[in-house]
Amino acid sequence: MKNYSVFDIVGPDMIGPSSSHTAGAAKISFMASRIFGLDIVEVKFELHGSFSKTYKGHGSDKALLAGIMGIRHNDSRLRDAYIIVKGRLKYKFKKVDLGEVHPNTVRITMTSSTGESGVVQGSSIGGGNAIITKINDIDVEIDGEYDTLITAHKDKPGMISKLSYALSQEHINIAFMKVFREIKGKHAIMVLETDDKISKESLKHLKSIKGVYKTIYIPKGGH
Amino acid sequence: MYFKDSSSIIKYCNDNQLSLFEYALSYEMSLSELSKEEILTKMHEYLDVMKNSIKEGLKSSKGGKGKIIDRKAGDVYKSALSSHKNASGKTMVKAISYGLAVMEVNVTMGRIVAAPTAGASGIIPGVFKSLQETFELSDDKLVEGLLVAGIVGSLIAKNASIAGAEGGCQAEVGSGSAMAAVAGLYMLDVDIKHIFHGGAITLKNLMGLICDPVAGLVEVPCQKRNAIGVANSLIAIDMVRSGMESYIPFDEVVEAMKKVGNLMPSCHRETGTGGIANTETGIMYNHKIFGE
Repeated sequence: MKNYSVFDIVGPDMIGPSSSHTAGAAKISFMASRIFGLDIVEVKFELHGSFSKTYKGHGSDKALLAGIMGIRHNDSRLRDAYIIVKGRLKYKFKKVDLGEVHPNTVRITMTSSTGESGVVQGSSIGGGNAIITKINDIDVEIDGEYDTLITAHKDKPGMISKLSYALSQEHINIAFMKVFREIKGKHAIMVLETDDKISKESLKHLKSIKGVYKTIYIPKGGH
Repeated sequence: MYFKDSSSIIKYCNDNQLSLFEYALSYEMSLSELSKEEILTKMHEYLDVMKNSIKEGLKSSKGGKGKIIDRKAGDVYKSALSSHKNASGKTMVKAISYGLAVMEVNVTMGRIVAAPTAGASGIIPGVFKSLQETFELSDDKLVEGLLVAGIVGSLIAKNASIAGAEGGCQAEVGSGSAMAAVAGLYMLDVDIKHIFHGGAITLKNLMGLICDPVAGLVEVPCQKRNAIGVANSLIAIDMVRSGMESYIPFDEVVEAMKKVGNLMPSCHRETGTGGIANTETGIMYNHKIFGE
């Protein structure tokens, strides 16, 4: 049986009204914007299941928009997302059926000012907890409960040891680590959850490793 | 250190001469690997958010309405300040106004602390603020109480549920009320032998309560359910302090609550399809808000 932290019970502090439809939604799109990592000028939210049915009643639309703009689930500005978004980016909400996924799932397509686009999919799994389940076409599992480093790198021998060695040099302890890939020898994505914060300099260093295309850092979600 | 039920925790506390708060603190330090200072600082922040949500919620005119409900906490609070008598007394009326205030802030997209959930977020702040006023408790004491409340909730989550979708409203408002009652008795220095009676009484009083939100929104009946949650905790605290006990121990009540939750049909577990959600008026609200 699971031992619950007292902060699983008392907390999170959040903007209401619903932990799964509001706080969870904000967390998904916040993580999505961090993963995309570029200046977003256009965003499309495709809502599935319970999200598509009740998103307006629970303010999921405001939460999703806020998260994309970097506003967190406990930030009072979330309520004014429609005002803040004016002139900043174009957005669209669409009801879709994404098939056999969690009932509270959203697929977010983001476009940058330079015309690049990326897709991140996530689910709100209850109690304000959220997981990212897809980055572009690659299945992943990221919950933002730890400081999270995501790397996109070439799928070849030695990449994992190079990255973990670089982190150990910076005295960053890896709590959990998972590697995902689509096709052997092409792109791989590694998700590292760490006990320690990762500085900008460390990120730069990691990115300079040959074969690393991209590093993304998502600071701990916090309760 | 990690125990399955309250009787093991009470025994451990007695054997080691620990208060329930001291136990909760060492439990959390061990589980989350946070320092004492980090835990207390975070709880102080949560206490501030709770108090602020009461303050905001009592300004009824600000912040708009819900999709169905109006802001009423301010009116209820004013009625406690007026020279008129209140049927349930000034202390009770103020306390429920605090619970309503937090729920109304939640509904209008304000900032709250889910405790144990957003839908039951008014109970602990309402009970804690009321006890602070009546007994002149310090904020540090309330923070200790929040940790105790967390331990009580963790036992319920472990042995039953704190999610309306799993166990109905008894799991949300029932659990919140039990957490607030046990924490309240702790803050009033009641002996550890007796304080879980408050948890047992509150859970028994709301056992079987279904989760039937109109249009699936955290508004009707959630707003007023938080008021009964607050009142339930306060009367349990008074009963236990007068020497009353629960004939059925807390751990067995939690077990019973789990069984009752398991027997609940899905229409009574947060799907917005049973109970008052499925009345003529409930369905009318659903159509009005979501169309079809």
